[in-house]
This record gives sequence, C-alpha cells and structure tokens, in this order.
Amino acid sequence: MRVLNNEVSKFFEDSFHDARFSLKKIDSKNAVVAKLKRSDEKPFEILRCNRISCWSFSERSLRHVFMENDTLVGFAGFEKVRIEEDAEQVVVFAKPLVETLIIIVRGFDRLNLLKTFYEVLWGECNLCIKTPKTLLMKGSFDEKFDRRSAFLLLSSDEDNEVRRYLEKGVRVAVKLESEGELQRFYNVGVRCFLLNDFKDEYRERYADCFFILQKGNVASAIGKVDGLIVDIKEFSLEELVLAGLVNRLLPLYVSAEGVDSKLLDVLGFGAIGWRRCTNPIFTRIEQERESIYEISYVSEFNVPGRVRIDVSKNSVERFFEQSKTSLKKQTLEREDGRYFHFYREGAS
Amino acid sequence: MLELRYNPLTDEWIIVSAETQRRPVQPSQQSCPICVGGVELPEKYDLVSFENRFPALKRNPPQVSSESNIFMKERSFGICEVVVYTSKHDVALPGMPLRQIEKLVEMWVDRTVELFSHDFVEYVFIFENRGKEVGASLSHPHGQIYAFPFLPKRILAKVEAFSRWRNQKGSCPVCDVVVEEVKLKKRIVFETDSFVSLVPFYARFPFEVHIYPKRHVTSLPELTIQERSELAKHLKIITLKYDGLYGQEFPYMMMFFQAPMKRLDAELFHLHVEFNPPKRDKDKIKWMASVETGTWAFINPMVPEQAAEMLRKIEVSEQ
Repeated sequence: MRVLNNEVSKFFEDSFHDARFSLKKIDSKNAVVAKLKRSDEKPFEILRCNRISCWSFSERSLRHVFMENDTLVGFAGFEKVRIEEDAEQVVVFAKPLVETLIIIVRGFDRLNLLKTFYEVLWGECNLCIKTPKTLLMKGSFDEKFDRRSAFLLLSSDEDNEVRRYLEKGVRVAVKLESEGELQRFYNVGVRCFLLNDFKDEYRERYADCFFILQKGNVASAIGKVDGLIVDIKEFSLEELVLAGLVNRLLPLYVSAEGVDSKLLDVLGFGAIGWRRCTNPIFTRIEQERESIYEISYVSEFNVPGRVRIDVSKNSVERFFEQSKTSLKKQTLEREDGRYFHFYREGAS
Repeated sequence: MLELRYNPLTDEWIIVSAETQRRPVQPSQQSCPICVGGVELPEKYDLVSFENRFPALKRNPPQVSSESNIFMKERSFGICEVVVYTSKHDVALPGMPLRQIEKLVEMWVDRTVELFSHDFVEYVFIFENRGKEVGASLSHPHGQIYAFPFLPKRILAKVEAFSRWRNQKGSCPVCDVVVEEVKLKKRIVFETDSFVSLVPFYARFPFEVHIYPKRHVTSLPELTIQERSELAKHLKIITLKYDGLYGQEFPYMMMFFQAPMKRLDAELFHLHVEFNPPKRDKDKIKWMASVETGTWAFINPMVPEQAAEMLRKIEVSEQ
C-alpha cells in the first residue's frame, strides 16, 4: 500500500520527514495523521493499493477508506476524488482542499480499524454535529407529530407552500436547483437546504443553516457540510453496518425504498421519505464474531434491544433483548389525563 | 401561565410555570397526597411514577404567541413526573431495604427509556430534593423526573466538556478520573466491582459525592442487572453515611446525569450521579448565594480529601 508515493510503513518511522506534509503520530492508537501543506494543487495520486487484497466501501461517495491487511488509510478534505481500478491495482487521485487529512491506522480487524479511524478523524475535525436526522416529504409529514423532530422537505418551485408552512411554525427544508435560490429562501426564513454544490463562504454568510449535499464524496463533505445523501442500493449488508460508523462524523441521508427501514433506523441513518421511529438509538456497533455484528439500541417498543447481523448469510437476524426486569408495570390514565405508572415485583 | 421564554443574554430557555406555585408544602402524614389513600394515590402500590398535578412542563402545553423577535416564547412541551419510592411515609432512601432501592433503579431505567421515546423530549433528568433546606415540598420519600424539550445549560456544558476532553486527550474524563481515583484512594468513600463513590477532586459542595460507573456507560438503560444492583447499594451506603455524619436527616440534591441520547455525540457521555448536599456543618448551610448563582463559580469551604475521610470513617450496614 502506498500513500503519497511512499510505502505506508515509512509514515511510522521516527526519522521519516517530507516537505509536502506534516505528520502527527498518535502512539497509543498506532495511528498517523498526515496534513498536506499545500492546497492549491491539481488532483494527484494519494493512494495506491493491491486490487485483490484491498477492501473499501463499494459506493463511490463512501470510498474514503481503504484497507489492506492490518492497515487502513482514510482521507478527508479532498475534492475531485477519482478512483481508477484495473485487475491489479486501485489508485485514488484527489485534489486537496484547505484542510486535508490522511489518516493511517494499523491494528487488527476491520471494525476496530474503522472505529479508530473515525475516532481520530472526529478528534482532528473538532466536529460538533447537530443536524436534522429526518427530512419528510409533504405526503408523509404530520404537522402534529413531526414538527419538532423532522423537517418538511419541499422543492424550490413550491414558494407559496414554503411560506405557508413557515408561517405555521413548521421547520422547512428546501431542495435547491440553483445557487440564486439560496438567498431568496433564506430571506423568508428557511434554514435547511439540500444543494448540489457547497461553497465555503456559505458557512459564514448563512451561519445558522444546515446544508445537506445531494451528491458528493464523504472525503470532501466531512467537516464541510452537515449531511450527505447517499445511494445505498449497491451496499452489501456489511457495508451498511459499517457505514453506520460514518454517521458519527457526517449524517448520511438515505431513502428507505427497498431497504429495511428498521435496520436503517438502528444504524442511525438520517432519512428521507419515511418517518423514523422516534426512539433514541444507541449506535454502538460491536463485532461479536467473524462476520457477526451486534448493535445496541432502544427499540420501537421502548425497550433496550440489540440487533445481531450475520453478514455472511446476507440477512438480518434481529432479536430484541428486553430489559431484564423483575418489575411488572401497569399504566393508568386518570380522569384529568395524567398517566400513572405502577411498578411491582413479578416478571412482566 | 405555562411557557418557555428565551433569554438572549445567556442563550437559555426559562420555564415560566405559575402552576408550580400551587404545590403543597410539607403536609402531614394524614394529608400526604402520595400515601396510600391520599388524593393522588387512593390505591395500594409498591412504587409509582406519575405526572405532576402542578407541572413545569406538559405533554399538551397551551399555545403561545411570541410578542416579537426579541421576546421569544415556545410551548412548554415536556413531562414532569413524581417518583414515589415506597408506600411507607416515614422512611427515606437510607432506610429503605436494598431490594426496594434495586426496584427503584429498575423503575428509573424504564422511565428513562419511555420518556426519551417522546418526540418532544430532548433530555431526561432524574433527581431528588431531600429536606426542606433544598425545597422538598413533601416528606414522603419521593423524587422527580423532568423530561425537557431542550438541553439545559449545565447538561450542555457537560456534553461540551466531554467532547473537548475527547478531542484533546482521546478519552472520557470520567473514565480517566475513575482510574486515577481508584489508584489514589484518598477521595474514595465506597467502592465495589463496578462503581466508585467519591468526593470529587473538583467538589463544589462541602460533602458532595459523585457515583461513577467504572465501565463507560452512557445511561441507566445500558447498565447490566448486576450493575443496577450495585448502584442501588451505593445509593443506600452514601445516604446512610450522610445521615451518620451529624446524626440527623441529611438534606441533599441527588441528580442523575445521563447522555442526551438524541445527540450524535451521546456516546461520549459517561453516566454519573451527583449528590449536592447543602450542609457545611451540623447547623450551617452552604448557600447558593450571589457568586455561585451569578457566576457558576463555587467556593467550597471544605477540602474534598477531608470530607471523603469523614464520610469514609462512618460505618454503616449494607443491608
């Protein structure tokens, strides 16, 4: 595996220096962060690895991590990412933005490497993510139930609808067709936008807005925009599970069509087009055994649950582990509408 | 009147609730509203959590209209529950059988999960005010739960501190503190396999005690059955030691800090319990006065290591 035309092992050597980038070693994690010093270069080769032994997410927008044997190389802060593959090699070309990071992690098992990579990236990017996790189209939006937890997604040719809902206090997201529409909708009070192209100046000019890219690569979207729409049709189950980790850094928005929406919920994906279950989610992903992942969360039945996914069978084996409690619960509604929850001993 | 008002000077929401003024103050056992047969609980019960008759937050709050862009209001969405620990009027946490406290922990777990499931709830805060010194309005053993529609300021401060620590040191501050304190021993009051109770190095109140799970767990529902039982034991031991300190019912504010589970950075949070007792001596109160209230800067008149030693020395039975 070669990074910036150097064998990856070079980056871990104490004597290794290169004028093109600065190196930060994170000893306990056996990880190295390379920050490129120049940002005005044209796309160039950042990574080269063996086609047979290399692993990465299959979907283009998520191809920002590559693994080979005990090494992971991931990157952020690049644009114009181009991946060339032939029978023998995978070569990644990209153009660096102002803040560029290449993170190299060594260790055991794929999930651990990914977790470490995202932890390092989280720390380096100094991220604080708070974005709407659900965008609902008009047909599925319920004004009563969704107004506090979701954004109503409207297109930019629905001017009157946008104004009408804003006046009612509904939070509206607008799918923009052109740059000029941004200022126009901002002026009327819209604060969440789906756009095709993001410019850094937006962050300053529209500091109170959420920006979700409709197309793009995670490598260029992390730390820049607030969310990314991805097409997960091509994802294997394992990739879907692992993509749950990306969500820690950049909310991914997917459509539920053809996919188990409950699984997406468990994995903590943002959503377009269907109402997410409103329960909190613990996106703790553990690799229990080879090819078996376990995710802890709180189910739609209000009980802590776990899902076990055996990716080798290409199917989801979900089991709900109810909170083991020795208490029996009975809920009564009094005449004045207040709820009383009685608990007593005895398995429920 | 029930509404949220925004304070642009501190970027925080204030709950305006005229209803809370109507809460009864220290009624006798005969008129206790939460004893069996009382106005709230006519039926027999063991443990119960119910929506407060005089709430600060409601699941169906009245509509509000903001007066202007300066004076912003929001509806007071939320749930305020009264948690009754036992049907016995004259015991408190330290006097309750361990099994009853274990059941209480189970109930808190269930309440946490259920309350967080509401769309409008951003944070679930479990607490108990014990004693008139901290404004408890009923002497029957009980606590409360507030399910907030926003992240209260101090919770946000904690969330940000956890995130900063993670960015700077790559770890969790509570995990790091636990490792160090277990090594040093001098501030530890009580320790079991899974939990440690200690007077923190950074205590704000003279006899402040924190209970930390040794494992990184973000919230009560993540505790195993064994851990829930150990937490119950710590609650009993600490409150028994408090009562033994001056041979009197020791007032305190007991607060559970759990992750704001709807945030993406919730995983960074480490569950912990804080006891903030107002007493600094047998007959003296450490008041939340101007400095503490106005600046959030605390002056602790008691050296934490000394407080820990005093509490450690008090012998109590675990049963």
